Amino acid sequence: MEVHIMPIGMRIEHVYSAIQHFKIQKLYLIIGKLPKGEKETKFIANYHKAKANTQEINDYMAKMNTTVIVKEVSAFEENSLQLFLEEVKNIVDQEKGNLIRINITGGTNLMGAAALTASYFYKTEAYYVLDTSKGGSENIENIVFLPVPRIDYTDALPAAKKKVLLMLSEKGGKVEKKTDLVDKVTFKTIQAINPHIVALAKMNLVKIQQDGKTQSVELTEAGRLVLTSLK
Amino acid sequence: MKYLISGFTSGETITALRKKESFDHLVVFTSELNQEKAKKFIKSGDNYYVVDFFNLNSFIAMLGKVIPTIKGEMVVNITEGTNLAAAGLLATSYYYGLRTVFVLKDKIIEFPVPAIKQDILSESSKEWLKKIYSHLKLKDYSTTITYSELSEGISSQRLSRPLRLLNMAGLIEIRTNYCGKKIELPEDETLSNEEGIEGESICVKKQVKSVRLTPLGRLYCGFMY
Repeated sequence: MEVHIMPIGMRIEHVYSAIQHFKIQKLYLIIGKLPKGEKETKFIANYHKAKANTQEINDYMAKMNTTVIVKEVSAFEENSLQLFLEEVKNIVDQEKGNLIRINITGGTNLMGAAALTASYFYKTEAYYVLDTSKGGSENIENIVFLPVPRIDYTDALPAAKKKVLLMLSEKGGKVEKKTDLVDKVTFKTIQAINPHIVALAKMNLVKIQQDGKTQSVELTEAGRLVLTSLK
Repeated sequence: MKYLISGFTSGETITALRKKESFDHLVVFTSELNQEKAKKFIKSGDNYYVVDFFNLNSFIAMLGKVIPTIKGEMVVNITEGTNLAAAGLLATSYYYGLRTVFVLKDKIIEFPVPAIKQDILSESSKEWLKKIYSHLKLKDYSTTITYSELSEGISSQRLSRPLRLLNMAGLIEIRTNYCGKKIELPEDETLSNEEGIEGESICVKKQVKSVRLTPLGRLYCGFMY
């Protein structure tokens, strides 16, 4: 089954182009959630427009017996990227075994970039629909497949560093002091584990923070995503 | 030296980033439309490049030329430009393991890019990729090159393993076509029904394998060669 994930906002031409180009059997539309207590009329109007767009696409796809599922993700918060990635991860897990493609054309720029990041980590295809009325020519193909790096950190990380990441993950992603990672099996002393923690911090996979005399260690978002490919 | 690499639309997010941290130099990619505005942001030692934000191939080719020449710490801003431009910049970030940011109102959102350079190929695969790239450079990246054009006399067995690896790495696509060749039979010979085919000629189908670069392959080659 061919499943597409598309963030959408005010415009939906790219959705129709994709529907014509691909044999979409299931479509997930992601729109920006209206923040609680939002008073700015522009945001409220945009949200309602996006919502109406999902209804229009749903009606259109219903004629073709294609399932449309609408998800709302907060698009203007500091943790919007994480929320978006989590939402895509849930879809990818649910649609395991199906061909999954992400259309990054619509929605806010942040949603587009988040959608692309999701495609890197969850190994889906990603594409962009060119607006031929703007920059392109009518004769050119308007679907552009995007370069999706095959991110595989299994080889890039030595076994000891993978072990530290996994230990940190088992402890809930954060330890208050480095010595909390010392165990009786692999890393028996702080001297044994510290170089690995420092190296992981240089790779942006963990964050070390000074807290008085101790240093806490926490997984970064990149670290969490890398872990998904290690587990 | 710390460089800010950014797409350019209004420059608003560049200003916001500069307020939060200091950069020695700015490298911006702008469309022709915003070129004049971009120039106002450029100081001595900075650079700007005019690109078509709707043409991923040319943008990637430009990134491939520019990024490897920058020596120093790089921060990539993917807020400005089209989503397609962000796609080119983001792929570059992941390839080089560069810190990547998005400016949302007054907040800076850090993208989860591990600072690990993705070098996924063996030396022999790299050599074959370079050959494919230089052959296609003379034509068009969207066209294909056949195994026989590429092999230049080398046996196809030696070619197939490295090309399979390149295919697995997502850098090339391998296509198999069947090319029909009609062979006329000698005058006194015809084929009967018992032999499966009837007539005075037979069609021999030959397998023709060809390769083309994927978008990721074009990006990788742009950086490497």
